[in-house]
Parts: sequence; structure tokens; C-alpha cells
Amino acid sequence: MNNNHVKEFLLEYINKNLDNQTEKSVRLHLASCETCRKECESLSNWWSALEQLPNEKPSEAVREKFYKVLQKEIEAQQQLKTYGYQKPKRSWFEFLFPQPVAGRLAFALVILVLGGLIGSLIKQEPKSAPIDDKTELTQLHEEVKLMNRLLTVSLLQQQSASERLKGISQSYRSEGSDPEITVALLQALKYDPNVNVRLAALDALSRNLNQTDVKQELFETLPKQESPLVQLTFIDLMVQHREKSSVDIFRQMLKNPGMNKSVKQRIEQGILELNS
Amino acid sequence: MIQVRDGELHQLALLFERHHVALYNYYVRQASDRDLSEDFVQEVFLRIIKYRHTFRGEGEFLPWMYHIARNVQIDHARKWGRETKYDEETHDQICDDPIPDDHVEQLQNVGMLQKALAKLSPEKREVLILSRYQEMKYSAIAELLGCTVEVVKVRVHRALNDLRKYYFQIAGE
Repeated sequence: MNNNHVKEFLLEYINKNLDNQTEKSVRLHLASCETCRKECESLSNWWSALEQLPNEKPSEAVREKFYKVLQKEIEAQQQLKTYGYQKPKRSWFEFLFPQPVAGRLAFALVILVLGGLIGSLIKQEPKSAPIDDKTELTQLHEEVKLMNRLLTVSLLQQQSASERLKGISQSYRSEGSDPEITVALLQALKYDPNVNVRLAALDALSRNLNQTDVKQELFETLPKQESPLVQLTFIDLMVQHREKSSVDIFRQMLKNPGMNKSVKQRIEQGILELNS
Repeated sequence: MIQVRDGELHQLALLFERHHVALYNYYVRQASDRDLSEDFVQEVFLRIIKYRHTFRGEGEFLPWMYHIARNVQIDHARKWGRETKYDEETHDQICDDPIPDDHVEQLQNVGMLQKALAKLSPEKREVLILSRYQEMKYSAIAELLGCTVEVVKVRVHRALNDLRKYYFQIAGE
């Protein structure tokens, strides 16, 4: 073993870190080699001298801070253990969906289910709604009809002719034919003292000429009418509607000696038109 | 440390009491910045708490702790763009007591020894500190530095030779 080799092992020899065999070899070499022995002594002195460097102590703050952090960590760990949030092993679900994601997913699922439930509840309601709506609409319609009838009848019974005319105008608002309004209009045509009201009533009734009973009533009423204006309007109406059955009534009217001349001419002309 | 890893965190207090002074001196002897060294010690133990689950039972605690300690230093150097340098002046002020004559004839005072230590290259200084003061075996140092035991052995030896050389240089000035 040459000096270089020994030098390499000297520190370990000093620190007693060599295996038995190597240590024995070094010891034997040192016994015979003065250079190495001196080197060993020197290294040993220096190794010991290094021990003289003071071992400084850190300030207390380091310890305080450490224990503060440690305490916090211990408390956090205790909490995890108590509430069981920390699991020793992660399941495949947790692996695929970490906690926050899983939470959000669950929340989204709950919202989805709730939305579905609310949706289905809302969807069920319309099933009964049309029936209710229809009934309600019919009821409302009936109410409006009744109100209209009442208003018309009530207006036709007013003292003022203009109010009665308003009543006739009101009758136009009723859809189709309201028997009570028709009766009220016929009454107005027969007995109203004002010619204008009678004329308006006749005009209003002309909408119901397709009803046999109305037509019949008109045929009965007309000969009794004294106003030539009403008579002329009636004749025009009949001719306009091509009511051939009215020819008999016209002829009967011609027999009346006090018949207005103009009316007489119009009747004759009307008979001709209807027969043509 | 295995107990700490497995949940008995309070056991870490024992490890702290046993090693924090040595760790502090590991830093002080390399850079001598005491405030920074304290911060480093603090950071090392914080990381031990944080990464306790990464400790592998088969290894020893010391190499693991110094592994973290070196990373703390490296991270700091990266962050601040410089390496921690040995501050000779601070050591001069604090450690100027003469070594008693009867202890080692050649060594006049600790101050000169510290100056010599400061002159060593960081690599040599580190292995000398680890093997002499932290009492780590060459194999553990080799594992920590990622080199062979032979390299550590040679480096420690050269570090001690350089120390002697620098010491006598300083003494001759």
C-alpha cells in the first residue's frame, strides 16, 4: 500500500469508519511509514480543531414559530379525523372526480332533478287548464251577453228617444240572435212613438230575417205601420232580400185607401221586381 | 419520522429538538447569515410537515432532512438570483476567541479557522460540514449529493487539505 492510498483512507481511519481488514492494513502501514503517520496526526489534529468552531443557537423565535405551525397542523389533522373527511385511500370515483368536482357534480345533479320535477309539475297543470279556461270563458261570454241584453232592453225602455236609439245600437253588439233582444226590438218597431227609433229597430231586425218567426212578426207588423218612411224601408228591405212571400202583404197594403202615394208606387214597383 | 408520517405529528417536536440547532449551524457555516439561516430552518421544518407522507421508511431521517435543506437553499438562490455567500466579517466579529494553546498547537484562533473555511469552494465546504458537523456517513452524503462514495471521500480529504493550506496562508499574512 503506497502513501497515496493510505492518505485516502486516513480520515476514515481517524473516524473509525473503515472495515476491519482495511483498518488493519492502514494500521500496519502507519507503523512502518513515518510520512503517513505524521499526515495522520496532522489530519487528526485538524479534524479535532474543527470541533472548536462554535455551535451557534438560533433565536427562540424559530422554536416558537415551529411549535405554532405544528400545533395548527395537529389541530387540522384532529379535525379531519373527527369529521372523517380524510380517507386513507381514494376510491376510483374520487380519483376520477376530486372532491370539489364531485361536489359540483352532485349539486348540478340535484338542480337537474329539481328542474325536472318542477317541469313535470308545470306540464301537468295545462291538462286541466283548458277545461277551466273554457268554462271560465263561456261564463264570461254569458255574462257579457247578459249585460248587453240588460243594457239594450233597459235603454229601449228609456223616455228619451236618443237613449232608445242607443239601445238599438247596443243590440248590434250581441253576437248571433238573442231572443230577448229580438223581442225588445220588435216591441220598439211596433210601439215606439218615434219614427227614427222604429226605423233603427227595423234595420236592426233585418239581420234576423232568416229566422222565420222574426219574418212572420215583421209581416204582421208592417201593415199596421203608419209611417211611410218605415213602410218604404220595409219594402226596400224585402225587395233587397228577395222575399217573394212578402208580395201578398204588399197587395194587402195596396187595398188600404189611405196609402201614401209614393209608398203605393214603391209597392207596385217592388211587386214587379219580386215577380220578375 | 415514520411515526410522524403515519399521523403522530407530535413526534416531530422530538426531531425538531434533536436536529434544528445542527441544521441551523449547517446554514450558518455555509453562509453565516443568521437571519436567513433561521428562515431556512423554519422552511425546512415546514416542508417536513407538508411533505411528511413522501418520507420513505427505509431511509434515514437525516439525509432526507438535508435533502430538503439543500432544496430550500437552491430555491432561495433561484428566487433571488444569487448564491448564499460566506460572510467573513460577521464571523470575525463574533468568533475571535483564541483557542487554548494546550488544545492544538498549530491553531491560533477560531477566527482564522473560520476564515480558512470561508475560503473553501462551496462544494468542499459542504462535504466537510456534512461529514464533520452533521456526522453524516460518506454513503449518506453520496446519496444526498448524487455522487459516488469515492467522490465524497476524495472531496472531504481535499477540503481538509485546502483548509490547512488556507489557514497557514491567513496566518502568514
